[in-house]
Amino acid sequence: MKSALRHDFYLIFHSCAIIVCMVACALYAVSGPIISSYAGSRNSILVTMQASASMSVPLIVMTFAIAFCTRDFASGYIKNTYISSKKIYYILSKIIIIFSFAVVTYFLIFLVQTIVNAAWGNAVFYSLADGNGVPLWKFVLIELMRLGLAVVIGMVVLAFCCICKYGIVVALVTLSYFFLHSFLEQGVNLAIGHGCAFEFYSLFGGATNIAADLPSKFQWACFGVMIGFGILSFLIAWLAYSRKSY
Amino acid sequence: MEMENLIEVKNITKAYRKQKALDEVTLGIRRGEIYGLVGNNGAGKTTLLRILCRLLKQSSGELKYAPDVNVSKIGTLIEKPGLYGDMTGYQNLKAKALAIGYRCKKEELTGLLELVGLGDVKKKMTVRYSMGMKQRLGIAMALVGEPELLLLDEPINGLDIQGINDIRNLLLRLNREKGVTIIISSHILDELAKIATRLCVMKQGKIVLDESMEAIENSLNGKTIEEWYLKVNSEA
Repeated sequence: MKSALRHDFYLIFHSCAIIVCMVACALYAVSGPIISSYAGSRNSILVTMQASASMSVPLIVMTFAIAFCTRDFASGYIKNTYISSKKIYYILSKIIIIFSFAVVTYFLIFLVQTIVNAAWGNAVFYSLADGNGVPLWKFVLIELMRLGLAVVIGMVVLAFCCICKYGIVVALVTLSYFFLHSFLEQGVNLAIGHGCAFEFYSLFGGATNIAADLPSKFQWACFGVMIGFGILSFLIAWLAYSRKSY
Repeated sequence: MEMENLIEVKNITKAYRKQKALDEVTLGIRRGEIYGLVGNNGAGKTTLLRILCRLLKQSSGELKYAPDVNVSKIGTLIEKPGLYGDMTGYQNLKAKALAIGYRCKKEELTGLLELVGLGDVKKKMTVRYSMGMKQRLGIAMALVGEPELLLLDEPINGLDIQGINDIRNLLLRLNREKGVTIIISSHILDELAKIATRLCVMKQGKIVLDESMEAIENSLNGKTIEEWYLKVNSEA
């Protein structure tokens, strides 16, 4: 396990493609708050952070996961390197890296948001305990869930990489779905009818729509979807990688 | 009881649906051998190598390694070398060493690059390597961790004459000085005959001949190794 982690951390800091991807992600993460603040929008730190984090973090984590996970399979590296390692360690190591990346991205957005707001003086600094009338515990829980949903999106990408070794296919399918998911969900809602809200049960819908002021039914649905997709992605990734013939 | 052979393969069959890639293959590989696998395309050489390094599971049969063999110390080069194109040759070696949990100094990895003739281009991105250079790096990666067993699938593909000569000498040195057991498949029969201590001819998933190089040379009767192979293959 240690070996797999050391290898993956080495890649993060030495692979040009991953470094470029991370820099692009960081630029994307910080540009939202800067533009929003420069435009003079007067929102609280919490509201702006929620808005930028809800859209940015899942997309950034997904892009990173695509760049990070597809390369081993696409290059054929895996068949000459990981022959003796326990397969589960390989999967766990990737999940740990995706989680670490999501946490760093999230706090990067938070940090940039705070600095930018302070520098431009546009921010209305609510105390955390009274952020838009949302209790602190609820705010923290929602943010943790948002983070969790982003990590699970990364895990879905990992599972997909274990099934399909073609990085371009993984990238096209996941990115298309990310940008089109709301249309697809609306389509399903219309098809089913009876006031159906399919986005309750969609991972991408949860990641982009979850907010502290939504009814708790939606949050519970997101929690269930997060756990369900997390377990499913892990099992698919593990089984597909274990049973794969190279 | 200690196993006489380093690897023992008993009645291994690998079937893809109804097609048999390997059919009841039985062989034993002794320590310190250079075991050459030869056969036409689709004979089952790569499938056998993949099973030996556990990349592939056999449909039936038994594969045994001697108890003292550390499976993590098997060096492999199966088909094309898998490299990270956006990293240098040295970084690729370092990543491999980390992945298999092998702790080594920088000089050791640099030494490996020099051993395969890539000392001058160790800081060059591997995406800019020629096919032969990639193949050499693939061999260097297989050598990371001081393996006691090397499984090489067509390692001299894409190499120039100098490269073939270098790799041949390197494999012979590893075998003679460090006692590394080598299983090597190749279509270049002349080359294989120069280094192998035993040769195995495969046809349609079966072993049609498995003899020491000495015995084969004695049975040539003035024929070339190529003529000998064609005869064995047609008679099988």
